[in-house]
Amino acid sequence: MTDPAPRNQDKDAGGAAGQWWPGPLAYSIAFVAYVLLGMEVHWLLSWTRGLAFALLAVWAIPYYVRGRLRRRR
Amino acid sequence: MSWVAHDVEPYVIQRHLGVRISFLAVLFGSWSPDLITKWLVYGMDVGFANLHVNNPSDFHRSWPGVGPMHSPIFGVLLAVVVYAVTRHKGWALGLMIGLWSHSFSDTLDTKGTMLFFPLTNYRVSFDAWAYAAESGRGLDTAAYFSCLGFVWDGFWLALTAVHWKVLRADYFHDTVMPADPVWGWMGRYLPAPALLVLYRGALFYGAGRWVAWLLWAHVLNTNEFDLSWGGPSWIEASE
Repeated sequence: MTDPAPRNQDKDAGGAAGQWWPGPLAYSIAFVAYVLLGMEVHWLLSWTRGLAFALLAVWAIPYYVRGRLRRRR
Repeated sequence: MSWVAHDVEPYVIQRHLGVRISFLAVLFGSWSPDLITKWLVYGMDVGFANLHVNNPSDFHRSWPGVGPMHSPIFGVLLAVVVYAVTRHKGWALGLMIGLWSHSFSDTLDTKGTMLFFPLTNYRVSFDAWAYAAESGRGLDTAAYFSCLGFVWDGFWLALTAVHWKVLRADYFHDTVMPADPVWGWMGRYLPAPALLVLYRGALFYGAGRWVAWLLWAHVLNTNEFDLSWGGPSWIEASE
């Protein structure tokens, strides 16, 4: 019996092994969305509300994308 | 006045001080001088009322006003109070160093900060770029992202990129979290990836703002770059 792989081997991709969120793809999608939306809707770049939205973007956009991918499968 | 440096300086500071300091404390320290005062500088509509101050730049950086919040002595007082209440050196030290980084960064604009308050109200300023908050939010943004101010922010983003290891999940788990019990408390309610998002959030926010405002100022609009000392020349600077 071989030892199981360490649970943190993929830590930098976002926590537990095999979990890609919040990995580079998620951050990239959220970043582009944040920049494009922010250029048009300026309060998204402001203090407090902007920061809250930025965090929400990193959290929610990948969450939504992952949910869609799961449903397709 | 810096638009992005205050968001990313804490990552570089964290990299150099490691487990001896709380990252969250450095971040809140770095934001604290503007956190409850900046909205009054530009003015704010609440219902039918417009809340504003008559001389925004003096209110923000001078005394009388809230200028002492930009002074190193305020960082010391904050640290003493926080240490007396929490007995946590990492938080006390972090808040003080974060606030100091803000105070020193803001000496680069034409308004400067009262570094030696309360010994003197003299504002130290190196005049590298114009403090233009009194021109209104739109013009202030356009001016800042056309002068050495955005270069300064770019320098800090580049410095954070050089210290990229500070953004790794293992660095967060091994160095950032052990220095601060707040992460453990938040970990009771949030999953590990969410804590990582919170940790990286200020950089995401700062870098996003930097790119978005630059594109807004020079792609969506046509503002002239002026990288001369004290620029841009096309805006009236507060001194």
